[in-house]
Amino acid sequence: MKSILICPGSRPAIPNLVETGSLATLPILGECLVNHWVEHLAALGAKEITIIAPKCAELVAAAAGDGARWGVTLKIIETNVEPTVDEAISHYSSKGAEGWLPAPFDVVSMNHLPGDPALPLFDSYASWFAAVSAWMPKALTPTRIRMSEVRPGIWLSSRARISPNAELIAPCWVGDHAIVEAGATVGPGAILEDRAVVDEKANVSNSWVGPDTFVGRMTSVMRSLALGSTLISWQSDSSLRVRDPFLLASLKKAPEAQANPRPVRARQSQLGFLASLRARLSGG
Amino acid sequence: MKTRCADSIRSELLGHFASFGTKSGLMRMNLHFSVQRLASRWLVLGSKFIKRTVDIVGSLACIAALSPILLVVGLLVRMDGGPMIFAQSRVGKHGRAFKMFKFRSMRVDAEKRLAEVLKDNQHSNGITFKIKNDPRITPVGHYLRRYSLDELPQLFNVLKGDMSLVGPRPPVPREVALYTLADRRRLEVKPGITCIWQVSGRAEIDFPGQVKLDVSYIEHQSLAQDLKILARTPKAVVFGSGAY
Repeated sequence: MKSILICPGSRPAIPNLVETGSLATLPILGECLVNHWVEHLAALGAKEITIIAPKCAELVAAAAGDGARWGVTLKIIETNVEPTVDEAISHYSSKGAEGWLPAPFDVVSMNHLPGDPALPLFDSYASWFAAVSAWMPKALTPTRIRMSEVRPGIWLSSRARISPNAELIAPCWVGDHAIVEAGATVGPGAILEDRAVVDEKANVSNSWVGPDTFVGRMTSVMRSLALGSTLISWQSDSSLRVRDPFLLASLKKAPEAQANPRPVRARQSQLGFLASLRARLSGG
Repeated sequence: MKTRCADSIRSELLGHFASFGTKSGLMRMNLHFSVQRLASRWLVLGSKFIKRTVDIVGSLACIAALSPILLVVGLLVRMDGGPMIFAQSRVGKHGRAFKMFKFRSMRVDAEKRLAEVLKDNQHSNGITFKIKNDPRITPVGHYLRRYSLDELPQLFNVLKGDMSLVGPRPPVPREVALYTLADRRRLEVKPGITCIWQVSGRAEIDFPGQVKLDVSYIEHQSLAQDLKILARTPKAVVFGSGAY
């Protein structure tokens, strides 16, 4: 059986996620979107899958390989623009012909996660987070290895390192090689992708922390998407780049050289120190 | 009490963030971040690095120690005029095919006669294949298989990087074509010369049992577990339980 997958191209509603290279290869719950779909189509009986990748063929090929992992053959076609489902049917398939998966799986535009067409991924940051959060229970597919639901609503990789003094509140997802340090709180509604690190006494709730992202000591990430040093509030659709690596940073890239404390920040910190001194004194 | 607790948290928080304003505080935090970064990279790459190092050192040591046996076995296999090494297509990590080396233990026309013997398969699931008294096996091959000596050339596959010393046994493409998506989990890591089910009963374990043991091995993979399996392998080979 054959099928066609259309990768998402540019999505103006979520520019910071598009910046990562390709939305099709951005990891979602430990696997990238294209791999979730290839696995889903393989489970439905597809043996030959054509992937239409607008300006991202190399990234898709690197993520999905040749399909041998799922026992399918993948053919990746690079295009300049993302075709619609109808355009893909007229160009690459013959509707109704034999040997194709039944509609709507003959040609799939990856605008949602498999089995969740009611939850669009790319309408806004809020819709992206809602779709990914709702998909947590469905992410434990038959091929999934090392992930298990250790307590109701808590999905944990056997290779994650959780301090005994950390707190996990359902629902939450802690991916492969993720680290949660002592005193940290993860959840409710927290997703730590593979290799994310939540440092001591940090707090992550109703948020998605991307792969290889470091959340610094005592830092709170709430109702946000954290990807490297980029923090996006899915609630207000705003974003900022965090300069201090000990607050939020990418563990993959070398941190930018830290300048000497800027005068304004030095003043703010000194005021903070005085306030903490007052609190210490009044606390006895 | 509650106010005091809140005060102490506030004080710790303010103290922590206030320290960034000073050069020493900033340096301390940057150092802390660098340590975390290294620890995280080591957690991801360390186990891979250790496994590959053990594979290279272990396979080189085995090749050096067993070279007289490799030579004698090679000459014995060559006696019937056929090739010494049999390179069979096997399925490795993530379903990728590779050539696995073995001392030839079957007659030269063994692959052609496969259809004749498939009906005698003693594994009822139809995916894996094993029969007693396979007529295609040579007299020398019988002893090689009995003591798994035919598997020794796979040490070169380990050196090459196609295989590991310990890992699920690599299946043939014909078997993999019958796998479900769940069965494919055993292809998640590099295949090995010895594996958990080989030291726990070898061919007597049925296919679902093999998948279960392989997945459990992958989920709890560690250097200690690999060394335990390697230590149990010689006993399983000498007593040859389930090998035929």
